[in-house]
Amino acid sequence: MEEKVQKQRKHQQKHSGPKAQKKKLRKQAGAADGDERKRNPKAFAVQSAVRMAKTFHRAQDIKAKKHHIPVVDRTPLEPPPVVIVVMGPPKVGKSTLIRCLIKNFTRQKLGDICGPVTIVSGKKRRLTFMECNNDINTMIDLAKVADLVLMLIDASFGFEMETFEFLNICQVHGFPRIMGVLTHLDSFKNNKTLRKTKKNLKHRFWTEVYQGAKLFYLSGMVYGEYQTQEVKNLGRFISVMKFRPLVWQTSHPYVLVDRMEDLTDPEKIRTEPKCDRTVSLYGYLRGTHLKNKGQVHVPGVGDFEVSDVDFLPDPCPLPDAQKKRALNEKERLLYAPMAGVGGVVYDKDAVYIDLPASHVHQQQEEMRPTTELVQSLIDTHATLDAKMAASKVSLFTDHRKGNDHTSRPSPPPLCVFRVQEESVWDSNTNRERRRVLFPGDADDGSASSSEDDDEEEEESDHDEESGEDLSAFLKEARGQSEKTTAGGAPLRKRQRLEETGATAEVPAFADSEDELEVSEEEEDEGQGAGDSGNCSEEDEETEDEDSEEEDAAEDEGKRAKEKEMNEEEMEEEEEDVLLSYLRVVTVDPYRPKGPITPQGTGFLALQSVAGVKANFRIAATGVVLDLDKSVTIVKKLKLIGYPYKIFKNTSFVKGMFNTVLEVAKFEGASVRTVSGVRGQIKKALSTPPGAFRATFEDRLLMSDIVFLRSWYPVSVPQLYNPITSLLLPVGQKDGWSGMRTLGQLKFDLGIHNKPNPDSLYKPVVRAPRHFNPLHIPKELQKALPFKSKPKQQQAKGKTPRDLQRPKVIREPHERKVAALLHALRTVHNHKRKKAHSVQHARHKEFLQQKEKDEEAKMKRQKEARKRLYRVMGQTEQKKQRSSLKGEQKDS
Amino acid sequence: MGLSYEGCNFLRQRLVLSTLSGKRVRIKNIRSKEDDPGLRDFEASFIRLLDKVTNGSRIEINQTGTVLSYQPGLLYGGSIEHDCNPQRSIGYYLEALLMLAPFMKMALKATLRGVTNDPNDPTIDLLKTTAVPLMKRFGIDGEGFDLRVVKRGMAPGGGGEVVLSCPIRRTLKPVQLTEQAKIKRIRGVAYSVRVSPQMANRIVESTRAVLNQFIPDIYIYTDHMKGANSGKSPGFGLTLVAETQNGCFLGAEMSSTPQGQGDPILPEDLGRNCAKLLLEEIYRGGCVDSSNQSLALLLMTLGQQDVSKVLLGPLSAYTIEFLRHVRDFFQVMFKIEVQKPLEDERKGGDKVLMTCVGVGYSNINKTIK
Repeated sequence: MEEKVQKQRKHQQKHSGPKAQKKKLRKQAGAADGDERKRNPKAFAVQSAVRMAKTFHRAQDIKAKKHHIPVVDRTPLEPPPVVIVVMGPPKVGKSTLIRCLIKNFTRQKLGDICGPVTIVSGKKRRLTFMECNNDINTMIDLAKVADLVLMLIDASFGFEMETFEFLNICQVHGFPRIMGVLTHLDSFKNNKTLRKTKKNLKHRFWTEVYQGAKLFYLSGMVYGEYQTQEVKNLGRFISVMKFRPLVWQTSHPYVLVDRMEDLTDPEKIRTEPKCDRTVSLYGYLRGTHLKNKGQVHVPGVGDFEVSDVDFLPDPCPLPDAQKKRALNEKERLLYAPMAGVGGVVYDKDAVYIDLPASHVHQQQEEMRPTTELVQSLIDTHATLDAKMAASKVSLFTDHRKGNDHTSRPSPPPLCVFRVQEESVWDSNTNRERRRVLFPGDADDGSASSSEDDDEEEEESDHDEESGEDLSAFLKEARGQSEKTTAGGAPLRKRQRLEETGATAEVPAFADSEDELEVSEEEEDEGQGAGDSGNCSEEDEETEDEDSEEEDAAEDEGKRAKEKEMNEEEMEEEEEDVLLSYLRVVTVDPYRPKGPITPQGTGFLALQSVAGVKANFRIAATGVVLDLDKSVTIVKKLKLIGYPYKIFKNTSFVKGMFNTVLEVAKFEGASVRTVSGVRGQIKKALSTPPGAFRATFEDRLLMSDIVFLRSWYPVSVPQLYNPITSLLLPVGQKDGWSGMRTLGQLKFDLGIHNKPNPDSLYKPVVRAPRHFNPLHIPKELQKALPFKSKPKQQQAKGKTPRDLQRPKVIREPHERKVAALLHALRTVHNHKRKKAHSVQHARHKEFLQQKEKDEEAKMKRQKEARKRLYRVMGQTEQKKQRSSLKGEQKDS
Repeated sequence: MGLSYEGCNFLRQRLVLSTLSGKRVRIKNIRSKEDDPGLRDFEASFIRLLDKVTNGSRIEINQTGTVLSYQPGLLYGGSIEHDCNPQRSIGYYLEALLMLAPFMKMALKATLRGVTNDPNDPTIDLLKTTAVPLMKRFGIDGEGFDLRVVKRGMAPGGGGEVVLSCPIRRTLKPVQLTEQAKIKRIRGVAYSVRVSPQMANRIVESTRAVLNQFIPDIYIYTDHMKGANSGKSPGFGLTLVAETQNGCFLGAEMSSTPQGQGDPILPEDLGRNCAKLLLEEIYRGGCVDSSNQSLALLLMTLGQQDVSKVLLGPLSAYTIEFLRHVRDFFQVMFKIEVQKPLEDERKGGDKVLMTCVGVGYSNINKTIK
C-alpha cells in the first residue's frame, strides 16, 4: 500500500506551451481587473432586499456621521502661536516638561518658567507654552485659550481630582486637543505593576477624553530632565498636530498677555499707592478682530475699556525663507518676557534691553559668599522684626504639620460625577492630594503613595527642624540656595523674586502672573527630584510677604485705563451661577447679571473659587440659551375662604380677604372648591369685612373650602461681581473669596433668624366630622322603587332559645342510609353534569356547522345574485346603447 | 462706554445704532436755542416705538426735553402696534424699524398707524419696492418678510395702516454688489385717495410719456383706495422703481402737496417730475438707491467677518453722517473708492465703491432651540 501511495506521480505544472500561456493570461487578466463582481456575478447577486437595504443604510449612516458643518477657516496667513497649556497637579513635572520641550526646540536652557513662553518650533508654527497650576481660577482661564492641553498625570499616584475638574472645565468651552502625559513612571520597581498601571490609566483617560486619545509615557529622568528621545517624540507630535477651531475661540478676540508694562508715573504710585494705573499689555491677538476702544474683561481683574490698541513688530517672527528644510540656530527664537528672556523688547516709543539674567546672576554669585551678611541685608525688603513676626515657627516635628491639618478629619468619600475620591496627605508637597478612585483600583494606588510618604519624610523633617532656629536658618537657607544655583541647576526662581522686586509685583494683573507663584512651588520640587539643595518653605513665605507689602497697597487701586497691544483675554467663571465668558461671582438666590453673553456660550458654576476644597469643585455646567433683561418669576399663592351662607348657586364666602378693597381687586376672579366646583367672585359684601358674594356652578356645602389661585411676582436681586483674584498679593491668589452673603454671615456667626410666627407650619387640628344620617323626604320615598326605598325593618338578630329547633341525632343505620344516598346522589349529579357538557359540546359543534352551511349558502346566493345582476346590467347597457344609436340616427 | 452727541439731527441713526451695538447714548442740546425747545412729538413717538420693540431699555428725558439719555435693552419684537405721530409719515419710523427688525428675539409683526404717504419721508410703497429686496440680498428673506399697506392715509390727516412682518436671522450674509447693470424694467404704483380715480390714470399717462422713450417694459399700477381704507386726507402720488439686470432696485417717488399746505400740483406735472427723478436716480446709479444707502451700509457692517462690497451713487449727506456714526458705534470704517465711469460706457455719474469687513454681529436676542 505504502509503495503504491509513493508511486503516485506529482502534478507537473506546465511552465511553457499553450496551456501554461493560457493560464498565465487568465491569471494576469484576473489580477488586472480584480473585480470579483464581474468575474462571479452570481455570488454577488442580491439575496435579500432587506439585507441590502440594511447594509446600504448602515453605510450611509457611517458616511453621515463623518459630515460636519463646514467651518470657515479664518486663521490668518501667519497664525498666532499655538497655545499649549501644561496642566497637572503640583510636583508632577510640568516645569520640567516645558523646560525639556523648550530645550528640544530651541536648544536653549530656560531656568524658570514665568508666564507664557513663545518659541518658533518650525517653519510655519510657533508654540506658546503656559503652565497651569492647581488653582481653579487658572484652570478656568486657561481652558478657554488652550489649543492643546498636555495633561500631566503622576502615574505613581494615579488620577487626581484636578484632572477631572479641568476636563469638565474644558468641556464647557468646547474641547481643546488633549494629550495625556504619564510621568513618574520610574517609581515603579516591578515591571508588571507598571504595565498594569499604564493600561488602567490609559483606559480611564480614554473614557474621559475619547477612545484612542494619545497618552504619552515619560519614563524616568536623566539628570533632572526627561529622556531626550521621548521629549523629541512629544515635540514632533505637537508640531504636526492639527486643531479644529473652537467656537469660543473663533468668535471672540482675545489675547494671551505675555508681557506687561506699568506706565504709571512711579512718583504718583509712591505718593498715592491706590491711584489709577495705566498699564500696557502685550500679546498676540487671537480669534477675531479686536476693535479699538472696546470693552475687555481681564480675568481675575475686572472689566475695562481699552484706551488704545497698537500694532507692534512681531517679537518672535517665523523664518522668512521657506526654501530650507530645517530651521537654523538663529531662527529658533525664544520669547518669554516674563521669564526675562528674549533680549530686546520694543515698545512704540521705547526699547527695553534685558541683560542676560544668567550673566548678572553669575556676578552676584561670585560676590555673594564673601559678603554673605551684606548680601542678605541688600536682599532684605522688610526688617528682621517684620520677618520674624510674619514667619511661622512650627513646634512639632511630626511630618504632619502642627497646623489645622492634624485635627482635621479626612472628609468622607464623596461620590461626585461618577468618580470617587480619596484624600491623601502628601508630606512632600505639604498638601492634601485628592486621588480619584474608580471601582476596583482602590487598593493598588494607596500602597504606592504610602511609599512616597516614607521617602519624603526625611526631607520634611529636616525642614521643620531648621524652622526652629530662625536666624540660623535664614542664613543656612541662603547658603543652600546659593549652593543650588552654583551647582549648575538652572533653577533661579526665588532669586529672581528677590532681585527684581518690581517685577514681582508687576504681573499682578496679567493673566499669567500666577506663574510667579507657581514657579515658586515648583522650585522645591525640582530640588527634591534632582538636586541635593534644599530650601525651606518658611523662608519663602517671608520672601513673599516682603514683596507683597508693596503689592497689597498697589493692588487695591482699580485700573481704569488700559493700554494694550492687541487685546485681552476674556475669561469666565462664576460662583454658584456663573456667567459666560467672564469670571464673575453671582450667588444662588441672585440672578446673574452682566455683560451680554452670546447664546451658546458655556458656563460653569462653582461653590467657591477659594483654595482646594475636599470634594469636586465644579457644581454645574451649562449653556446660555437666551438673554433677557427682565425675568418674570412668580410665586403661586392660594387664598382660602369658607362659605358662611349658601343659597342655590350663590354663596357668601368669608375669610379670603380682609377688606372690601381687596375684594374689589379680585372681582370676576375664578374660584374653585376643593371638590372641584368652579365659581366666580361677584361683589364684596359690607359685613363682615372681606366677605364676598360668589356664584358657583353647583350648590356648595357648608363644609366646602373655596380657594383662589393667584400668582405673585417675585423680584430677584441682581449681582455681578468680577473676581479680582489676580489683584491679590502673590501667594494668596487662590484664596480669593467674595463678600459673604447674609445667609453665610448668619451661618458663620451662628445667628439664627427669628421667623415670623405666622410663617411657621403648625400642626393641623381638624374637628372630627360628623355625618348626619341620610334624610329622604316622604314624597320621594313613595316614588322610589322598592330596591332604593329605605328599609324599615331591623336586622333579624338572634333567635330566642325557645324558638330554636333541637338538633337531630341519627341512628347508626340511618347514618349509613344517609351516607349511601349522599353517595348515590353525588354519582348521579356527576353523570348528569357530564352528559350535559357532552350535549353542550355537541350543540356547539352543531351550531358551528350550521353557521358554516349558512355562510356557504349566503355565498352561493350572493354569487347567483351577482351573476343575475351582471346579466341584467349587460342587457340594460345593451338596451341603452341601442337606444342611443337610435337617437343618433334620428338626429 | 456711552457716547455723547449734541443737537437734534440724526436722532434715529443714533438710537438705532445704540440699540444694535448696546452702547449707551446721551444727546444734549436738543433744540435748546429755539423758542420751542426739546424733542418734537414725532421724535417722542419714535422713542416710544423703540421702547415697544425692546425690553429693558432705559430712556431718560429731562424736563424741557433737551437732553435724552438712552440705555438700550434687548430687542424683543413680537406683535406690536403703534400709533405714529402724523407730523412725519410712517416711513420715518419704518426706516429705523427695518434696521432693527432682523435682530429681534421674536419675529416682528408691527402694525403702524399714521401717515403712509407724504412728500418728505420715503413712502411705504418705495420701501416695499426697494428696501425689502435689498434686505433679501443680505439673507433676510423667507415667507414671513412682508410689508403691506392696509389703509392709505395721506398727510396731514393720516389714518393709514401698515403691517410689517420680518423674520429674524442670527447672522447676515456678506454681499458683493459691485456691478452697475442696465435697467431691465420699470414698475410703479400711482395711488390716489379721496380724489377722483382718474387722477391715477392721468399720472400714469404723463409718466409713460417720459419713460417710453427709453424702455418699453413699463407697467404702472393704479391703486385707488376708498371708504375705510382711504384715510383722512385727500391726495395722490406716484412711486417708480427701476429694476436692473442684476436685480438691483432704484426708486423715485413723488406725492401731492398735503391739503392746505402750499400750491396744489397737477397730476400730469407730478408724473412727469417723478419720471425725471427716476432718470436722475438712474444717472446716479449704483446698486442701491440714494434713500437706502444707509440701510445697505448698516447691513454690511453687521455682517459676518467677511468683506462686503457695495457700489453706490454719490453719497447723500445723511449717509455721510451715518458713516461717522457707524465708526463711533462699531469702530468700522469703510474703504471708499470713487469710480468715474468713462463717457462711452454710458453708466451715468460718478460711483462710490464702499468696502468693509463686517463686525461679525450675531443676533444675541434669538433663543437657541
